[in-house]
Amino acid sequence: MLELAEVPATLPPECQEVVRHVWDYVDGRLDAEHAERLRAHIAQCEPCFKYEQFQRSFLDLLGAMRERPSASRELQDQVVAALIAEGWIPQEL
Amino acid sequence: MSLSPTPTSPSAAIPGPTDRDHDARFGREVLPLAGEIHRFALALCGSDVAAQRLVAATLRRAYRLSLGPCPDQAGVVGTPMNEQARRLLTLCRELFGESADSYSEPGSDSESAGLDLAADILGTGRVFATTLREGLDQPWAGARNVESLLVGLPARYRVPLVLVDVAGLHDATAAQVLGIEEMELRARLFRGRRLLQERVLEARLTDPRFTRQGRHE
Repeated sequence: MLELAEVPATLPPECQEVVRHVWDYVDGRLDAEHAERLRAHIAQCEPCFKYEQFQRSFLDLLGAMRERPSASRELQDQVVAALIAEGWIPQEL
Repeated sequence: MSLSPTPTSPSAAIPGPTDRDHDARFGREVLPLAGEIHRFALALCGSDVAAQRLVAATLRRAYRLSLGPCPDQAGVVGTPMNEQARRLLTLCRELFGESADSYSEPGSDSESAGLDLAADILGTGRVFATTLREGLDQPWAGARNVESLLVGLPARYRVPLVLVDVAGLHDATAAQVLGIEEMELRARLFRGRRLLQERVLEARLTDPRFTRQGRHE
């Protein structure tokens, strides 16, 4: 079983702010002033920069799955064939 | 391939000769979205066999709905593409909800999403701290099994993750598709991200190719 490391309780307030709002930040959900405050801190704090990159690379990993087709053309053909067989869609479609 | 359960008799919906234009548009505009529906169905069902049944049922329902006297109001043919995708995904989710027994559903949904967003974000902070402790420079590199780990998440968290982070839907659209508030969607999304990160990291750390011992061999 994975034992997670604890986040240091003594993080500076600016870093705590990044940890607390990183997903809203990378999702573009923060208001402009708040986002700019985080951006400025991340630009000059290496651990926070790494943490932001860590989260962005995770979301990139998920986003890359979008490029891979979930259903093959074969599935689409099977579905259409079944719909035709049951009379839902005419043969000539 | 069986399309059961059948909600209504197809005979009432079989189009006549004047419906050829409709059928052509259905083939042109709706069928190409089968892949997107399948991805969502797979997230809902957790198994490919059940997902294929759900895709078929969704397309059949979409076809039937678009045959009414006011197709553009009632159905999915003739609507802008994004709106069409949203309607199809919503149909898919509704069908899944109506006939959940027909579609397999692995994984436990007993964990409550709650609204403790801070706890989930802190959880990912721990994941990050763990990658630093373990010396993983690129924690997601080589995470080829991420799709199987994603399928293993409880559907409550898996589905929002697939809609937003994989399919790229906006939060508001995904919330509409699922019939939940946006805040609830964000809570489930954050929980899903945290759970998946933990599972990917755990798989990585138990893979001898990536452990300290493995690297030193």
